[in-house]
Amino acid sequence: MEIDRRRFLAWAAALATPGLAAAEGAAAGPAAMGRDAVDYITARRRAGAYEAVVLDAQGRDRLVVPLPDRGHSFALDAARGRAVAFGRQPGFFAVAFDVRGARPAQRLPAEAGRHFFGHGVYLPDGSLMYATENDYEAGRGVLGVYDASPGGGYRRVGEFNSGGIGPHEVVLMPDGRTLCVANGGILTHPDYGKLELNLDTMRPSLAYLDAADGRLLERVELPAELHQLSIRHLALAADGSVWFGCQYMGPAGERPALVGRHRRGRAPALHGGPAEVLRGMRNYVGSVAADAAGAVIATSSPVGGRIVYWDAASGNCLGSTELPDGCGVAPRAPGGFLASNGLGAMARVGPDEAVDVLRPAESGLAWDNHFRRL
Amino acid sequence: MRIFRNTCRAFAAACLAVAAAGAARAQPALPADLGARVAEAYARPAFDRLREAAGRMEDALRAVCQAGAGDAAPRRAAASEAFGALARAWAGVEFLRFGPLVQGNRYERLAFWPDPRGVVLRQVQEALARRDQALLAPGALAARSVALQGLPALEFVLYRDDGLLQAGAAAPDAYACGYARAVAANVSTLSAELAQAWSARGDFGVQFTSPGPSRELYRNTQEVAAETVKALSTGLQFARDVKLLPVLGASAAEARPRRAAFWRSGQSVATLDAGLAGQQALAGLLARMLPADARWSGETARDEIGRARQALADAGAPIEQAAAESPGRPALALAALILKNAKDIVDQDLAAALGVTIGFNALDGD
Repeated sequence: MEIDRRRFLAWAAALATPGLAAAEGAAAGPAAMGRDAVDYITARRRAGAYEAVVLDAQGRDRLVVPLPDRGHSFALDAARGRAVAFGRQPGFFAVAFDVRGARPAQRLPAEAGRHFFGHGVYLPDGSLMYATENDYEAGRGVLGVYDASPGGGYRRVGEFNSGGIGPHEVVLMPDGRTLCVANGGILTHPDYGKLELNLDTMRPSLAYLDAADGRLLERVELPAELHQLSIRHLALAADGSVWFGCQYMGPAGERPALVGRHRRGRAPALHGGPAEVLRGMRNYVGSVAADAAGAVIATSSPVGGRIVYWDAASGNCLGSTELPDGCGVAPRAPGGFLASNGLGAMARVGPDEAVDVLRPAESGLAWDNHFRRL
Repeated sequence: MRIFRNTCRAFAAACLAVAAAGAARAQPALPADLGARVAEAYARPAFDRLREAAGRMEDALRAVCQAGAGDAAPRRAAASEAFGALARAWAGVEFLRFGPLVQGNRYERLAFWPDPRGVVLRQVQEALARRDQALLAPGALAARSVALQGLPALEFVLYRDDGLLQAGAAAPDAYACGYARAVAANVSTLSAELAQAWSARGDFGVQFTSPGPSRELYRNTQEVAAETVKALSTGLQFARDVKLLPVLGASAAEARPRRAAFWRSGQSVATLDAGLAGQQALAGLLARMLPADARWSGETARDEIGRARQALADAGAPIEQAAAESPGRPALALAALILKNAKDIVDQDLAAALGVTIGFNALDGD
């Protein structure tokens, strides 16, 4: 189904009042769109306005959801076609919406004394949704627990201690009942934006929590000399191991490995790759994604302007792709990745392929950090 | 352009693709001695000033603490003068938050701020109450909490109620004196380390001023320029978002002057101005290194920072009144507005003129 993109966007903009999603398929009914039409979800800034966007496999807009401020990532419930967009930290809003625009979007304000960090996850049965949040007066990381069941209205029903300061990305383990949280270790307070208030005493961790009651099942730290290596982003490999991407807050001249893998009950392993590749990442990983088979991990560095690939089985570096201000990276079917950047470009990339641009750089358009496959 | 793997497959195609993704930009001809000029004209003198001010602080405290004959008031006034000069000297280097200043937590050790949870207050009060003599041994502070080591701790012990420099204070409390002098000595040590690291013989000084393909830190002038312009951009954002806006609050009723840096010593506005003076000088310095047709970007940034400083001057001190009342409050709000504009010019125009892209995603991370 091909429609005139400009007409669609004009129409979407006309309908795009806060809290109301404008769907391309709305006129013909959701069924007319077909399942293949909604493949990816991301956030962007377009002509000065912030939006969540649902895209097809060619990177074309299918649904635009206005956001009150800059977005970050999403909790996804692909089985029920739902998503929650979170505000970039310190985020004071989240927006729940139907990815085909079948229902009006719903604003979820942050709980009093809490703000969102930008990531979240649903349980597979769709009953609950968890969001990483900051209990900022106490300086404590929490997971907000939301009733995502039919009629639940995303009521916040409780919170768990995240097992550290500054929880950033959270993923659900393959067992469907264990949450893995990247506690970045960085203390922030919304009065000071994202300013780090505890660089001297940071203690980042990976924490595994029981999704049923928040019980801390395992907590993993890196060696003490790497206490300024903030663990931020996560992806799951086919073997169930957790891949994590870090941001180093220490001096630029030190270049610790930024990518690692953890298997429950074992010590984490760090993978640095060749020195030149590591240097090119500029002590910064902005997002982590596994390919469709869970065999290749992509880590992006918008600061270094490149995406680096890793073999999930061996931890070997498989190469890299240059993408200026590139951060969003999502798996493509059957293999490879789709990547986006802050200059409005979107491209097919992968360890063994040349860059294939789907959408060239576009003035006034900036794709945000996270690009997710539904 | 370095494209691992993809390079060997289709170099030309990959280059076109990267261009389509937004990388096509010409590298401007920057002077090869850009880093040397930044170091010599700004950074080294600024770090030297910090070291000298720290030394004078030590001297002034020695005078205050030695119980001697005569009026204590002039000695206290001199020490207060020395503290103000030290805080302003710190503001002049605070925005050079890379290299030696971030090694070994030096930034936090010199100035653990902002401190919304009052860690400095709590820890210093505790230390003063416990009168732990071990804390006063030469060099001992360096191994203790960063909150005990730097300028906010020193300010508290000097300017709190009954602080060493307060008019009502009787003979100086011996322990408080010893602690203040230990903090001043620690600040001196750190400042000397910084000045040494930035010097022509210091490791960082060498790396910053003579980048090269075999260097660990900076491979070329472009990378030095990127470090410098990012420091300028971040410094302007810090001045506005961390120093000004939390003090102003959403309305006059919500103004929180005690969120200001150095409010106890009355140096809030003066230190903000001193930091901006440094950034103004740096912007001007960078402007002079640009080709004539691009110089306007640095000059505009420099002039905007100058306008922000004028607005600060119009606000007047002390910040307690300025933040909440007219004409201070609107003047501070104007300064914040101008600083936003100055940062936008640095990010969009000056950075571009220096061949540096400050990306949507790369800018301040997440």
